[in-house]
Amino acid sequence: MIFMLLQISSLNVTLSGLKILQDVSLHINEGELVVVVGANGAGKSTLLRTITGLNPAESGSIQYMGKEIANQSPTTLPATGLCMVPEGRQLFPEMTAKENLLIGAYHYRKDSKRVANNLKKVYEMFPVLEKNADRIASTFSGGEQQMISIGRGLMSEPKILMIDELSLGLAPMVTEALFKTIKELNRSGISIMLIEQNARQALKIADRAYVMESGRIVMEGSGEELLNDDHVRVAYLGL
Amino acid sequence: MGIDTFINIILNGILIGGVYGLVASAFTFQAGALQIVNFSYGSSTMLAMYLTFFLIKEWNIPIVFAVVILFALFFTIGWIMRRTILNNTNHGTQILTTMAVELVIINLVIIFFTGFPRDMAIFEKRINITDTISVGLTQLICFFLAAAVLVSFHLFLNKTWAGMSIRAVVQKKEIANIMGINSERIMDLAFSISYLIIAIAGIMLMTMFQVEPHFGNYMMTISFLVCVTAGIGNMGGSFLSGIIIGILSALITTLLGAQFHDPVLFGLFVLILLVRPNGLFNSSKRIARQI
Amino acid sequence: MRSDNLLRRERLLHPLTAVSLALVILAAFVPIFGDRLMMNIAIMAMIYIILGHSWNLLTGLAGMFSITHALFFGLGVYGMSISVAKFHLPIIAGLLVGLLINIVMSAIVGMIGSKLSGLYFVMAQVGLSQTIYTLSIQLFPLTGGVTGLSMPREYLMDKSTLYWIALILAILTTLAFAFIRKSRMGTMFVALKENPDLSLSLGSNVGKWRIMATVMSASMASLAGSFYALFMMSNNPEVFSMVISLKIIIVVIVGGIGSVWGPIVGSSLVVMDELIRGIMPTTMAPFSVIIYALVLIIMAIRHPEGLISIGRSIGLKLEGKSMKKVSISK
Repeated sequence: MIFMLLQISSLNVTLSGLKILQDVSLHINEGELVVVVGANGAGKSTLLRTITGLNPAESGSIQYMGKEIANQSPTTLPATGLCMVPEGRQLFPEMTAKENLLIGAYHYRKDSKRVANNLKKVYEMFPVLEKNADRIASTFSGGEQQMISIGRGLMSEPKILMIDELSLGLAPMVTEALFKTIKELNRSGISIMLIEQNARQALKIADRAYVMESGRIVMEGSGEELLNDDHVRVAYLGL
Repeated sequence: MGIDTFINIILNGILIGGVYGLVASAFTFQAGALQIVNFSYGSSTMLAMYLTFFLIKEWNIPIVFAVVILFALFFTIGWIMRRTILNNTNHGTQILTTMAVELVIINLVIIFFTGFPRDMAIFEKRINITDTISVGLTQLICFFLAAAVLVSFHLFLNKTWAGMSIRAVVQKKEIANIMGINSERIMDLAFSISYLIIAIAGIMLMTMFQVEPHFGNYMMTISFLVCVTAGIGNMGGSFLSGIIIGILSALITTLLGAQFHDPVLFGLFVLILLVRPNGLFNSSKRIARQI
Repeated sequence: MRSDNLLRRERLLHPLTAVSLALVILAAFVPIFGDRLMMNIAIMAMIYIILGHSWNLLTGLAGMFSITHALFFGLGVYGMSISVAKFHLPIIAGLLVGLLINIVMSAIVGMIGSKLSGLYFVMAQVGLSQTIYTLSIQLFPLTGGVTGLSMPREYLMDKSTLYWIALILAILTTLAFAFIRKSRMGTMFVALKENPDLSLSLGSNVGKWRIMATVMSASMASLAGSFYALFMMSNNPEVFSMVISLKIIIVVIVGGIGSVWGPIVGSSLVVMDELIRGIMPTTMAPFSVIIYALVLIIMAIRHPEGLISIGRSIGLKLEGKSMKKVSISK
């Protein structure tokens, strides 16, 4: 039986008078890797911000594990296993790599064994971070910063990791490696919602995908289906 | 003037300067890191001085208890101020309301303690380094205590979860929120802790200076000078520049005379502001980001 | 957009010209029916109206956050009292001396204001004002130190004469403020305040405008100060104090920043304060200050982001970007 982790139904969001999201419905099943592709300004980031409670939802519902979480304070989310890796990494620039990772463990900070354990796991995944644990975050390269950002998200022990623009501003080789990592994470049991402009690579690893245009979900299907869809090929793959 | 006198003046300046550095560090933390401009800062220091005097000298409360009471009180004052009037990000509003708080504090002090200047009248034991060069014992203790407070605050910010979350909130509030940090609570905590530093600085100042209700204005201007010399937000630098200002101030008083002290020092302050507003030891990039 | 609003509001207020005439007529009756206490209170209100316009010009129009406005007022007081009490100069000379000192000081402040903005400008003002305050105490032979100087008796003026002078000064500054606000210069001030980019593109002229605004504002405050010296027949360092600065600011904010009517409406607060203080014994004076402060604090709690829009329009932000809002969505 498939368990629906996150279910969004007819979500509307208006920010400073502009309708950003209209009637958005989507869901993520346990263990799935779901990709949302769309052009710049389609409302993808707003979708994530609304799920995490950074933007207010106007109407509609966001259900996480059967509980309504729309318009909840963002601070309550990490403890429930919902975590966002924000667009543009958004590290704490003047803190070390290790401190950035530790902040992810904030909600169970009293359990030092658990913290150390998770830190070890992240270091195993990204050995470069262990080597430079005490370097200030802003001095890392873009790819390494994205690793820290993902690592920070993983430290919070997420059930769903929501990643915003994984490949933004990164070199193709770095992007490829990161996509591989994401796929591995997904195999290890973490559900993933990936928001991407780089549709081709994202769709390749996706179990399911949505296409978003001007604040609406216009298409839904498996990664394969969308890769072969004419509209997607023209609009997002440049073929 | 002999070389010995000169060395004594410098030593004295260094020791007082360390305390200046501590006083200024709380302001620089509030304005630079927390982005809260607190103009009731000087009068808060003055209040701490008065309370120290009355708790210990007048009401004869044992020093340990007096310190505990003062800490509890100042932590609460900081908390209340942050919750009621400083929970906004508008610097204009912050300046005006804290100015109002300053007037409230000054006038409450006048009502309860009268405007009469107070002095701990500590008999200063001198430690002789040579026959003619000596330093005051209390001053020496205060200097090292000030350094210790700053070091432990630094450790608190860097080694504890609370300190780390303060830095996280200061650097990226929204992200700290989605990582589960309640940024408002953390800001409250940070501001209250800065008030603890004010309380400590007040106790130290009380051992060195006579206090009257407007002493805070003087202390605030000194803090401004120290902060601007170091660059706002630079706490370590403020200790160093506190020492420099301490030496300068001692030299001006003895070489030029006390009446030139404020004009020269504050003239220097305006000059530094005009020439290097980001501080003497600071590049504009680093300003206000570091703690 | 905001200057549009301002203009529209002014058009709405035009019927109030009638009210102002009524006020002036009413004010004319004070010396006839009022006793000395009433006249004293009215004079204090007039002084704060002048100071309010002066602050309004610098902060409300030109957008330079003047936090220690009592500095200009105090220099006016000292200019008058020193010239008259120490050097026995005629009153008009005292007035000019006060103006001259103020022009020099305000040029300095204006220069600082054109170079620094936000918190740094405010800090510089506090430093300057603290310096002058200390000097006024320490230069005892010239200033009379803490107790100040007493002016010779021959300068003592009749209460009702003083009252008329105050009224005329208040009306003149009100007209001056209204005129400046409408003039090309006033438009320029507002433009520079509302649009810092414009000020950048105008380059070196910004400094000129800022200095001009400061000098004009300080001159108004200087008039009020010189008059105050004649009214009190003495001076003391408290004229530089934060209390007066804050009272000036509150008077304008209560009445509405940037508007001609602001200080006039706000001066009712001064009237109330003086009335209450007249009833209470002098030992209760600290309470009066506390009440002023609480008025401000309560206003701030009720409108945390908009106590005055000056915070935003002056761009009182440190240059550091540490608290910069993270914008994730595009």
